[in-house]
Amino acid sequence: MIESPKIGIFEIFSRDELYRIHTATLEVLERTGVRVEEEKALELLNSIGADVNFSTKIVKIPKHIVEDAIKYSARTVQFAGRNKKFDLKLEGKRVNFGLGEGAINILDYKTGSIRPSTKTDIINATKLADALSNIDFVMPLFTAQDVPKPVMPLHDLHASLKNTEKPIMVVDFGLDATHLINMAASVVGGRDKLKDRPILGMYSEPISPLTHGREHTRNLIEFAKAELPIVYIPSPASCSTAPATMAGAIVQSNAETLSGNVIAQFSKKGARFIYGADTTNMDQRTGVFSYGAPEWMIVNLAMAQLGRHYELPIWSTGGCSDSKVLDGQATLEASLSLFAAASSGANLIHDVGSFLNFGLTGSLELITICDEIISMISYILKGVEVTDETLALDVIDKVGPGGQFMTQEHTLKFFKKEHWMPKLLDRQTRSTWEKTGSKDLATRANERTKEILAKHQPTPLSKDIENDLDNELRKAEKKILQK
Amino acid sequence: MNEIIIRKIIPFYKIHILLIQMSETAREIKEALLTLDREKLIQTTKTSLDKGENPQELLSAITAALREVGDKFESGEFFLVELVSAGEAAKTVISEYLKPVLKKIGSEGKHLGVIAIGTVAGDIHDIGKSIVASMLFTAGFEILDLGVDVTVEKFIETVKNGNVDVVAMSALLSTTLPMQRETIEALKKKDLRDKVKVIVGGSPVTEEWAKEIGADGFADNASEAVRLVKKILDISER
Repeated sequence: MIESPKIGIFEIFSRDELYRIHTATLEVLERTGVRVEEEKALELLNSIGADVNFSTKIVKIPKHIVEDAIKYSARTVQFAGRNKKFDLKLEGKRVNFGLGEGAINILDYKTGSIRPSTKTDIINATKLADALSNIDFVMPLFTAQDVPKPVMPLHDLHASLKNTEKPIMVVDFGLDATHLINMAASVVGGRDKLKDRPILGMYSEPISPLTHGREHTRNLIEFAKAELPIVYIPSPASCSTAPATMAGAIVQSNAETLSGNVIAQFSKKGARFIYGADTTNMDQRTGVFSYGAPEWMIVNLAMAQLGRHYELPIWSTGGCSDSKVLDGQATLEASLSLFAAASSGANLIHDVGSFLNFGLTGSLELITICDEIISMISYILKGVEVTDETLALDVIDKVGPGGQFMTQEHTLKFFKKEHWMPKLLDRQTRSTWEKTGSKDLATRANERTKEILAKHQPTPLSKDIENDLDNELRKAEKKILQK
Repeated sequence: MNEIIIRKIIPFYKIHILLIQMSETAREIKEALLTLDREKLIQTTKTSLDKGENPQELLSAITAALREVGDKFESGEFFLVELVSAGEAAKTVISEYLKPVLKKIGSEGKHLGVIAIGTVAGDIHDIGKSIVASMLFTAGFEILDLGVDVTVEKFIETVKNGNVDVVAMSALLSTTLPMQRETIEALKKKDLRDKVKVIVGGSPVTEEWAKEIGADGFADNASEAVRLVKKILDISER
């Protein structure tokens, strides 16, 4: 966790531009409106004075409703770990990092080849994230391709709950979220306790442009009512599901997430809504939704500034790449996106170290590398402490012209605190590097990943709780598969 | 003697004029499509039809121009939005202006095959499916776009009623993926599976999944989908 970084908060909009984006967003919601597929949400919106057309399902939302919903939102969202020491407070410029989610393949760290991911892979990614000190929350990086598709999200969560004490964010994938809530509740001792110890958050999406899908809206309401953290943000691709202009894509994204907040807040005032957008561009040669695009990075900066203006907790993205393998492109895109997201001051930055191949392939080694990148970024964002002691006038005077600082008490006191030390990056001389096997970054990350997985044992659930969780999984599976 | 020569020359001269006219129209159609000038494409088509030009020839001109657009995309000169926009403009002109005339004269025009395409039930993600549909159209296929949230019954009905060669199903959610399997199972039950080829796509779709559910193929991008369809229908590249 980076607590309120002192420097590096990029603000890309002037006050005037911020105001224009906000009013443009309100105009979209009032003039064009959104389509809402869920009947209950249509009724809700109708009851609060939105202009609802029940046959076209188009809802036009007046300005005051959107602004009221922003006022009702939780200003601070507590996102709890199974262990209190991992609790996160999402507010202001506190920056936290977590894994990506939903990859269907793994770049296997044992064989180096790409294959469909399994539940075991989720367990390993979770264990790794549990061990790495710069990862603050966990998402099921992979989907369990070895279980029946309709119950996959249940197994994704099951594997996560057992293997980390850090807060967990899951994707609903259109599955009835009640099952997910029940599973998390079984770990903390019931639904009421889950409210106080929200160890589970849900990520769900409106469908761009301007559509709230049936299952996603249902889950949004379900999570709002359960008072659990909910990330409800769109993933449009500029030029295909959003305008080609970045300002236009930002306005549309803002309208999509803020209309989601209207549904959440009027379902339950004070709903723990997390704001943002995963907006990128559609690559014009391949049509892919690009994960390494600078467009996404600048949208992150834009949405964070808007979110802070609204005083809402902010979701963001970094640590991912379009590359197919763990190469220069992967680390370049991961670094830049992490730096952009961190310096936006966003509260939850996901997709860390996880995504290659436009979010379809996960890599454990990339998580390990990102842990190092985040550690560097944290150092930079802390800024420089300026006090009488750090200005070091006495020691400068003592050493004087031509001396050395190596053996000074001041140096011994401060060198650890003031300096960053690499764990993974190489600073050996060439001859030593050659003698130790001439290992590149990918090789070192692979070794470190294997080492952590061999050593690290996450704190297990107690036997009773584990039984309860397993029962909850079986119950939910039965219900879904019987349908 | 002179008369004979003159008689021979005149028809030749007439044909020549017609050829010049036609190639002039083809040139304009090509220009309109390559500059993405939708209005010009519509105007050229209308004017040419009014002049009594052969609608079949106009269709060929559009198809040839589309092929050039496709080539320019493959070579990196054109971008995806240009490809899709050219395809959409051509589709409008063909369905609104050429098809009605062709029907009247009893000529439907040639295509490479009929593709019924849609996003499966429970899923309303549209864009990927539409890009694939557009690229297949540009490549010369006839498209029955069934839209999104397409039920198993709708797919079945379409296969039953139409001359469908390929059923193409998209799904973006892992929870809606099983609908691809259900549709294939339903086709089997109704004894329709052998009549059509089935291809699947969408972000969570893998080669393994396609094999598991008994699809005829899978593609992870739109250009690949065109190659796949040509392959399974045994159509040579050119």
